[in-house]
Amino acid sequence: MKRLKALKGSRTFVLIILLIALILLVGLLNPSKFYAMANLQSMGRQLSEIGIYALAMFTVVVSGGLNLSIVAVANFSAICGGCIMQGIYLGDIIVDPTMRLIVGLIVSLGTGVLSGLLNGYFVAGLGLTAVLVTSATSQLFQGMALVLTKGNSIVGAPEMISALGTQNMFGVVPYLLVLTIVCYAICEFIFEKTCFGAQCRLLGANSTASMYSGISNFKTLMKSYMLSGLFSAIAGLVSYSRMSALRPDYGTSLTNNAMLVVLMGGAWIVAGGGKILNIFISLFCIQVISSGLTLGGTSTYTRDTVWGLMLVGLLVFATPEMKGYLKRLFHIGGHRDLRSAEVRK
Amino acid sequence: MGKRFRLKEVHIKFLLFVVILVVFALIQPKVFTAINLFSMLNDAVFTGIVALGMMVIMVTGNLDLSSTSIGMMSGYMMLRLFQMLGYAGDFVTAFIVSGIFGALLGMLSGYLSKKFNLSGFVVSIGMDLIYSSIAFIFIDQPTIKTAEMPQNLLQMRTASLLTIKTDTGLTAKLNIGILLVIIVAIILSIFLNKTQLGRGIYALGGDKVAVERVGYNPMKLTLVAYAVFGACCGIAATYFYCNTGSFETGTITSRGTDVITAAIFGGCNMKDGKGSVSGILVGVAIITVIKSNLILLGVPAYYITFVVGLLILGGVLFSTLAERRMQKA
Amino acid sequence: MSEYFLEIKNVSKAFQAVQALDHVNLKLRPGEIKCLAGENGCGKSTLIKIISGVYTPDEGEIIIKGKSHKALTPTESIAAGVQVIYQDFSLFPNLTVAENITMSYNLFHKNKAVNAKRNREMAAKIVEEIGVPLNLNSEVRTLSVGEKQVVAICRALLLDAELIIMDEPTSALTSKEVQALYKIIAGLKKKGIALIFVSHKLDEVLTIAETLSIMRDGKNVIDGPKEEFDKEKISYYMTGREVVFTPFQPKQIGDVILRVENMSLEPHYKDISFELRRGEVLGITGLLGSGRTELAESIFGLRKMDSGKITLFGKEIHINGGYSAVNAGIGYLPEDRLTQGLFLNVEIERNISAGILRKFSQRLFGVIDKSGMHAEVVHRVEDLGIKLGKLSDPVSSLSGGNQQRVVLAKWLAIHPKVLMLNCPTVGVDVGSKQNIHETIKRLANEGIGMIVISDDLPEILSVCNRILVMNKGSFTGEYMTTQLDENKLQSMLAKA
Repeated sequence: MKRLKALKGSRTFVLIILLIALILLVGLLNPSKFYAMANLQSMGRQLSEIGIYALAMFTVVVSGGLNLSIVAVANFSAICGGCIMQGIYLGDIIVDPTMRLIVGLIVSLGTGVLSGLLNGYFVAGLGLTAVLVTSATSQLFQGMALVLTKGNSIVGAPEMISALGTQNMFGVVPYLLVLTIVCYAICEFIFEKTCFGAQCRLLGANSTASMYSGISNFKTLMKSYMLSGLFSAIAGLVSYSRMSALRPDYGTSLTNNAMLVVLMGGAWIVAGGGKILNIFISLFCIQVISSGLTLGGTSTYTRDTVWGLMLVGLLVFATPEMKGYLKRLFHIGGHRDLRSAEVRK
Repeated sequence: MGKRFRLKEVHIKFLLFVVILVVFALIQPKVFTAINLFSMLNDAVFTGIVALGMMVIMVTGNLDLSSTSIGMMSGYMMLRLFQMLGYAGDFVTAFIVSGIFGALLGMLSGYLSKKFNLSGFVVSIGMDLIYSSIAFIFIDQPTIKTAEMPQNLLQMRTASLLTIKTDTGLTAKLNIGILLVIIVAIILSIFLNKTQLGRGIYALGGDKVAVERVGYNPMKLTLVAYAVFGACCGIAATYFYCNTGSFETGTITSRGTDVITAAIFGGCNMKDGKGSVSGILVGVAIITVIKSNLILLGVPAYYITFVVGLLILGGVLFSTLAERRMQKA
Repeated sequence: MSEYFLEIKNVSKAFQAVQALDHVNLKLRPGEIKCLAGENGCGKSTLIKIISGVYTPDEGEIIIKGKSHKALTPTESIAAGVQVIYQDFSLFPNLTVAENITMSYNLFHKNKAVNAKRNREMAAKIVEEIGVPLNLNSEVRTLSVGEKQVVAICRALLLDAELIIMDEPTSALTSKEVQALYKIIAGLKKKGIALIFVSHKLDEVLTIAETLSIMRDGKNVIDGPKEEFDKEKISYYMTGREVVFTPFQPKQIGDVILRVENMSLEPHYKDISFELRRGEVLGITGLLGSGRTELAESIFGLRKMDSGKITLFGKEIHINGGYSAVNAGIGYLPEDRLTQGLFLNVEIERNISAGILRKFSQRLFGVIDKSGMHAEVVHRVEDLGIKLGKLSDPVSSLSGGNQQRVVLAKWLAIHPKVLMLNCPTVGVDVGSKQNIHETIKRLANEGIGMIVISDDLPEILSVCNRILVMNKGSFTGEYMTTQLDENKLQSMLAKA
């Protein structure tokens, strides 16, 4: 009971309430469609994609950076791996389909990790701004993807992969959703229980102090970009499994959605903060909103506007200035901050 | 001491531009024809105007990714306004009106980031989504076909500064757009160097706290910087749409990435509050000469993004490392 | 017309529960040079901000040139002739000297257009009056700290300042620059410009000031002409107690733990060599700009060195980064705990365990042994007597003294073989100061090599048994504490 009491007023609590409210609202507006199993399963698959991208973004945001290349890396690594799986590359050398699948997976994930090395080298090693570097590598990887595919999509995927993307465990829960839950559990483990996770959070909280505490900023940041790359690659495979096609320019709006999920989960607001559980719940919230907008038959314009307003809204309403203003507006919190009142005079 | 260094950097970059042009021309003589050169200059107009506006906010330490959507919305509002008024349009009014719309949109972004102490960059990601879509939610057909455009504005396509008949019998036209870039560059240069307000923008980039102590209003400076940026976006977009001859959502978006690349190449430094009009022009020149000639050089279309990615990365590396070397000196 | 330029009468100011100023009074004549002295937290910054209009007093009045104000705005303060030069100078590194100097003037006179030529002329005139050669076209970022200060002073003068307030003016200057500043101040006095400078450096106070105003805990303690004071008296009034030294007597001095040979780093320090033995507390002191912090940072690996050899327990070590320094067994408590030592929004427990994360995660996958680590943290908290609410509170909730103990706890948990502490008790209350000093001595007796770097001479004299004096990058002397007292040490610092 005590733990439940502690929960009250925390972000987790607010998010759970929000999720319930959203589910009820959207369900109310589209009762027949929303609660249908097919729809729920479809949502489970969609949110898997955003969810893994959100993890890819989170691992870097928590250590104080930003990774705008997650989608480009996902596409590129999926293309590399997928082409091997299909026998388009190394098709003569690796003939056995299972081998192709395994090698393809390794290449895919490996490419993701290598991309992390590249990003990490520039940001952690050379000290360049994360925004500019990952913007540039985003172009770079997308460019490489376009070169490999000559601008076209490559259709076709091995059976295992498309099964992952379309089938359900025990006939009910989409495999992708299971994968997502596993990934989030792994992240929870990493960031709450391991040395690396703790060091990431400290690095994000104060990069100077972490240097002065004997933490290797370089190693920690490198690892977090590599982990981000790994998750990007996984996300790329998720997209591949859903579409059974490799597209070099897929998912340009997914970066925004990933940022939104991470923001809602509280990762940006407090440097080095953000609980995995909160991000997980935010993911469901974002998915429900997305489905609600789609089911409601809204245009891309409406959807983009909603995402944009949410992003800006979340940022603005999380700031102390806004919180203070709201508190005064609603007369919450008896103790007025005298100091800020003074300085404003 | 300081001014000498900066001039040197710009000179080197200009030299780089010339070298690239010459190398390309050696590989592919067609590069050096009037048609191609004019085409390059025409390509540079949009990027140039927006990059100039972007520089103003980069100097204050902000980055903004919503340039194309600000442009899209201001351009659209201007075109619809003219349509509603039944006005066939004229260049000057079109630029002024879209410039004002753009300035207002820019100021909104700037206000939000300054007031709530947010990263201008992250706010711009959200505003980019909003600006590119909010106007079109309730509109069924957010396109303006050529026939529906204010007719006088369509002359933008054909209005030329210089017409040359080449040996092959083709006509090479230098669009007046380049004049627009020059005008904007001159106005900005005067504003940034000769007005106290303009110097204030540099001051804001130099030290956020000191700026207030010295007597400036930081919010006013931010709003002015963002207004300039937004106005440039609006003007550039108007040029784009009039040149294209019609309006469609989304056509303008791809031109956004070049702007930041050009600004970085142009020596714009967000951390130190550095940036100059001449630097930007050289940066735009370099980006344009590379991008515009890739196809002529025989590079397949799908290689272009890759090359651009390499360019930005190279540009960021080069700029940062060059700075560090100079600081040590 | 009053004989005083500035009068502060019964001014009080409170911030939530803290009474920053309590019925404070101050009188300043035109052209007078007054030092406002006191320890950190005594209220001097608050008083300055009230005079310059940043804060408004809860009660009392401010009288400038006979005109009484209940409150001032910054603009009114400037118009009345008051200029503040902050510790960071508030200059624009990306603009030129001439532009920086003339900026406030132009803004004050609402000049819309920029007249570069006129700016240069105005700047040149003022710079000439001050007498320090400056290149008007250089970007301020390229200037030395002393030159930047001159630019800030010129800027103030251009606005017809009649009172210039300097906040800790010499804290970042080299000794040569300090001398130049003294000359400038003398020049200002000749022009009839009054000066209030805030300082806690006793030698400066007695050199420059004509009158002293000492504060403690938000109240006036004493006011008077310099002749009535000496260092002991000032110290007594500032701290409220007699300063008693119990110099450190090491129990037993053993083998050499750390040996540094011929370390050099242009332009900070040159040819530094010393030994640290087991059981000692070695002090390194010198004026700011002497290179002491840079030396420590190099030993800790946060700064490269051009040349030099470091030997730990006889084996040469190569360090490139805090990470490898800790691995080798070297610890460093940095100068600025707020930005360098602490993770402010993070829990106290995590702050203390920040350095031992690796040690306690030797299990599979790097899982942290939380109970083991927690036990260590609790042990450290008890050991150092840190007063806190819960270990899960953010470290920002602690007082300065307890915060510093948290940083110390972090290092003790790491068990370094050598621990360097840079200004360990700056901004720390008396009780915590005592506690930290005792801990340092205890650690030395336990066999950890201790180096204390500080410009707080009483601290150095009471904690260290051997003292190295550093001046402009070189060691100028080595002394046993028993050979020295504060006056002797003071004069050593200034010796080249």
